[in-house]
Amino acid sequence: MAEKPELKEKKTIWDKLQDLPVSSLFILVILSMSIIYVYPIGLPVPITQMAKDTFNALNTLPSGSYIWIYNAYATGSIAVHEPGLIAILRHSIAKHFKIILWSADTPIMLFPRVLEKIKPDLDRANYVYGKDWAYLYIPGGEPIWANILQDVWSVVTVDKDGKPFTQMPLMVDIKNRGPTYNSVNIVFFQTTGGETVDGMVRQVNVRYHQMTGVRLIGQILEIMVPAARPYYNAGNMDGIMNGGVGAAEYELLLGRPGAALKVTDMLSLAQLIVLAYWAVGNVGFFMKRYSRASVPKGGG
Amino acid sequence: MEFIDIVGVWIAAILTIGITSISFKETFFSRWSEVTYLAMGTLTSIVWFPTDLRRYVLERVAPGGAWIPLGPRGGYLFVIFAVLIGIIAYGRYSRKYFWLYRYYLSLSVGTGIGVAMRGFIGANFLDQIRANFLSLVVPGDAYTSFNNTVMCVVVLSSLIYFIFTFKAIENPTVRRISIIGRYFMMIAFGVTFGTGITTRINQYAGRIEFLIIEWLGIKPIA
Repeated sequence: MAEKPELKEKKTIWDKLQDLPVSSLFILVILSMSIIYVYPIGLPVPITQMAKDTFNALNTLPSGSYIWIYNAYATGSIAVHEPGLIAILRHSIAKHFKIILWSADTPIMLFPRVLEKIKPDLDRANYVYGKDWAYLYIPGGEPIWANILQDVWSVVTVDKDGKPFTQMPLMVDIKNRGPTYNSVNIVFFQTTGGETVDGMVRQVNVRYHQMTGVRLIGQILEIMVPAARPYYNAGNMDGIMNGGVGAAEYELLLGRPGAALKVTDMLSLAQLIVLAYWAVGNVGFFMKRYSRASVPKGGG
Repeated sequence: MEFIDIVGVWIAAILTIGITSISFKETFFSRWSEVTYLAMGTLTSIVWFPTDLRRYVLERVAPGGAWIPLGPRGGYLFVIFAVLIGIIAYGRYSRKYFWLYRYYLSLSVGTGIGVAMRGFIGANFLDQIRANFLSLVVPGDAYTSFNNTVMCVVVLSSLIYFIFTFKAIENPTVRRISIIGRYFMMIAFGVTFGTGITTRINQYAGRIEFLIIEWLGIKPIA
């Protein structure tokens, strides 16, 4: 029995537009991002109200305030979070805040990269480790944050390198001021996980905002902003740093252009390419539908 | 740059290219890069394990060599209890002792819920309702008036979409409102998808930066 020849529908131009190979998009994005990084064109970075609020939450605090920074990012989001942390640290040092950082293991391993960049700021402002700033190794989630704000000494008594709190005037001062929340004026967190935002709002804003006026700001990935924005609209968060774009805005507001601003051209161009592909695919989809609809229906 | 740093940069560059290649085709190279990355993450946790054990167990059970049964920081009885709870978590890997793992799970979930519930009503319920009581007309500020009106329409229509209980939902007008709510939700999902692309591009920008500056040694033109 002879095989029936397969009927192959000829691909039209609209089919081809709909099925542009994904690999071509990746190649184009990677190439264009690389080229524009070497030859930047300086596309504008508009400053949003959310970025201004984030900046002002820190900027309007008096000198000597206590900022607690929880950085929970790993290697995958260095490009997003590292510039944000550097910008916040530079701003805090310029405002002569007392800085307490805390995190789990990976951010501690990544911190030397940050320290290298903020060292000139620390030296210029005569910051002394243990007296003006400290870094604590505290793994754990929401229950631990609740304990930290209540009494940090009950959670841990040494810094990330094992130095006892008793030898650190900053931590001794915090203990002498009573419950730890008396020494928390603003909390800045960085995360790649949505549950951190919810937990921070519950443990910092809801519990202590009315009691002590503590402010809460955070840098989260762009993808998390739509879900976290209701907290900002409701006043649970004083500001949100919108991923790498937010870090670039912060650098502009601070007047200290850094790593985040360097990659904004890459982001803009890559987005334009994705948008162009999206438009081309849609043109193919609608034109195919239109051409089908316009074919007269015949019988037999 | 020292020799060891150069080796580190090359390994990082090879792994970056390997993991990127998964976007084009899954190969042995891409799988190897992916598994190596995961192994490094696991290794980091293992390396930090002795530090955790020393700081959160040994130094609490006997700080400076002195045993404290019950002190301001709990003392060793609490720590030993916590360690026991930690050990029974490994019951998960045994059919015989799996029931022990359930105690660990119920305790940790219970603690988490207990702590979270304290702020949940305020943050996720009351404050959100309060934030949606907006003036539809703000004198002299057309932009805010428009925004507030849109917000009210979105909130109400989206809420109506999720009402399945009442007969009223069969009313054609209510159905139309719920369809509007569905469209607004689709716009919101679209925004999330769009920001997802931004996030991934942003994260990859860091790797391109690394490849250009540290691996290839090309300086960007300022």
